[in-house]
Amino acid sequence: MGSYSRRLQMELKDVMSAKDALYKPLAIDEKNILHWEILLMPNKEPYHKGVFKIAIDFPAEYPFKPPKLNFLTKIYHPNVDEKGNVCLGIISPDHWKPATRAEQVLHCLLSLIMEPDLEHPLRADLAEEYQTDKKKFFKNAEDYCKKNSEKRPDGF
Amino acid sequence: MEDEDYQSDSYQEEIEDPASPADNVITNNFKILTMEDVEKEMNEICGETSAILGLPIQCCKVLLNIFRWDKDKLLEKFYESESPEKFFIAYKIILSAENTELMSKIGDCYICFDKKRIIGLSCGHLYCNECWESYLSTRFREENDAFPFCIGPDCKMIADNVAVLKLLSSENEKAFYKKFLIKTAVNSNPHLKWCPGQDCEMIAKCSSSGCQPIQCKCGTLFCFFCSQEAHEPVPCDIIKRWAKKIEGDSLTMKWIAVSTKDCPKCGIPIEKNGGCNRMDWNVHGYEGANSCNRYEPKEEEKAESRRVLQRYMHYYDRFINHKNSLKAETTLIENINTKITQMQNKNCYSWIETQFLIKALDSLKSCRRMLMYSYAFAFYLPSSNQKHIFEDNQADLEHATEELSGLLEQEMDLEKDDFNVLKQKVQDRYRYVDHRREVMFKHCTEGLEKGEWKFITVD
Repeated sequence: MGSYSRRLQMELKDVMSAKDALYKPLAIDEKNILHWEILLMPNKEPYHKGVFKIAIDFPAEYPFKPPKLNFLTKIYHPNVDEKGNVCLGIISPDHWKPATRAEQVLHCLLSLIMEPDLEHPLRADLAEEYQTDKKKFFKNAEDYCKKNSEKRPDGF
Repeated sequence: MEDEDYQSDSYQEEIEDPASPADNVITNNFKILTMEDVEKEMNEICGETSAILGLPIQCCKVLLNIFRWDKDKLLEKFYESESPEKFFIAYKIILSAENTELMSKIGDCYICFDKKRIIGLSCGHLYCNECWESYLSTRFREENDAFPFCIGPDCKMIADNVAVLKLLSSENEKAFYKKFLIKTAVNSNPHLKWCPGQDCEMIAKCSSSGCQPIQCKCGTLFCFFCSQEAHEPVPCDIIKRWAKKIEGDSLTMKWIAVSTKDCPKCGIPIEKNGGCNRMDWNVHGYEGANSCNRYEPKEEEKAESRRVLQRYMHYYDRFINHKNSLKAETTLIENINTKITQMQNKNCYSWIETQFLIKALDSLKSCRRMLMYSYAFAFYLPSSNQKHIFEDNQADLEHATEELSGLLEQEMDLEKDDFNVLKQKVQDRYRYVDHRREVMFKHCTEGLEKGEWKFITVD
């Protein structure tokens, strides 16, 4: 298996220098380049006021095995469970391709957050609420954001 | 009859013995293959398909794998489509162009960011050798994928086995992949099953794909459909329920057997009080006038569960007894072989004259196995005339089996006349016992085919 170092260094550089309004990487320890923490800032209701810290963990076999995502901040979302696990097709072991970059994964994740997938929810109760009473769902999600969210960093 | 005639007659008999054990119960529509045999057959079918469809062999391999090696189905669907292109689109199959050479140049590999020789399929997604190998290895070693998609992002072109072998560089991985291909062929073909025997890599090929006993060359006797120990005459789903039941209930049985005793009057299980073995019947009311007969719902329930338990124990005990006998009889082969050698050396009987003992033992084991499973079968049957007939058959078979067992445990150090008498007895016995087994087997399987057996649904 090839070494992940050079590839991850390049990806890290790209992610750090990307001027994307929807996410901001936190400082990453060079000694543990396999663990990243990123702040997500969706710009769509009901999450537009929230800041969500996520962890991306790369396996030693990267890029031949996919990274794992976890929500460190609680979020009221049909595709994220209470433990912070999220199901994202692009990083499932069955579909993962080694040419896929972390940046793409982040974009995919943000898309999912802003456009929930109601066909394959991890929380059936929230999916149901979203479909039957969207207003209530939005209110619950916003309240949840207020209670649990991180603070928006400067400039965002 | 002269000695000579008798011997030659018996020789004929041995060859043409119609009651050859294991033959009439295990049907002969299966074959045992090695992995090499399977590979050969697989390649033959691919060759045939290639000739018919006009597609390269490796393409056909991919297609056949998708169609579970049902060549006829593949051909049917292929010719149903208006054109080959439409067929591939309908099944979402994108295969590399006919020219099987890989594309290659010097450039940047965008997976590991090295600049070196990069290679790829006709879709043009080029990456370096190491990255291809790491990717393909992960796909077939960990994701059970024999024909992976191209490594390129979102590319759905399928790498056939020729392409994969070209893309791999290490001999180790190539060897692993070749073996993996054969495993894939077996796993995707419902007419091929691995022998579940320990350390056995043989494969059974069967014209049906359903429940039937297979005897592997390694000695393992297994059911083709569920890969458990062959369980005639019981269907696979019933035997699964039985296996689960006896595993789960055995602890409860033990507790009840140890800790309770039946009231001699009404049969309700009473828990033993303390260490004293003397049951205090007075407390329960045995000595008293009407207590045993009083209707107390709680007692009724107990009586019912006691009845259910006793019914189960009836079948379970007999199942286990036959299972234990089978175990003992399996080791009897050593004993028999010793006797045979003894007879050949001491009493000068020929090899062929003593083979009836081996046949007898085979018969015995087959019958024992069938008896064992017949109790599992009977457990799930409600009372009926059919069941009555079944149980008559069962009793007959049981009796005949025990007699044969007894005969085989006898001393065989005998003079010629006594030996011939014994031989005749044993042959009569095993032929009779095979016949009874056949009768029971037919009764069960014909009933199953016609859907005449109604099994209870509660476990």
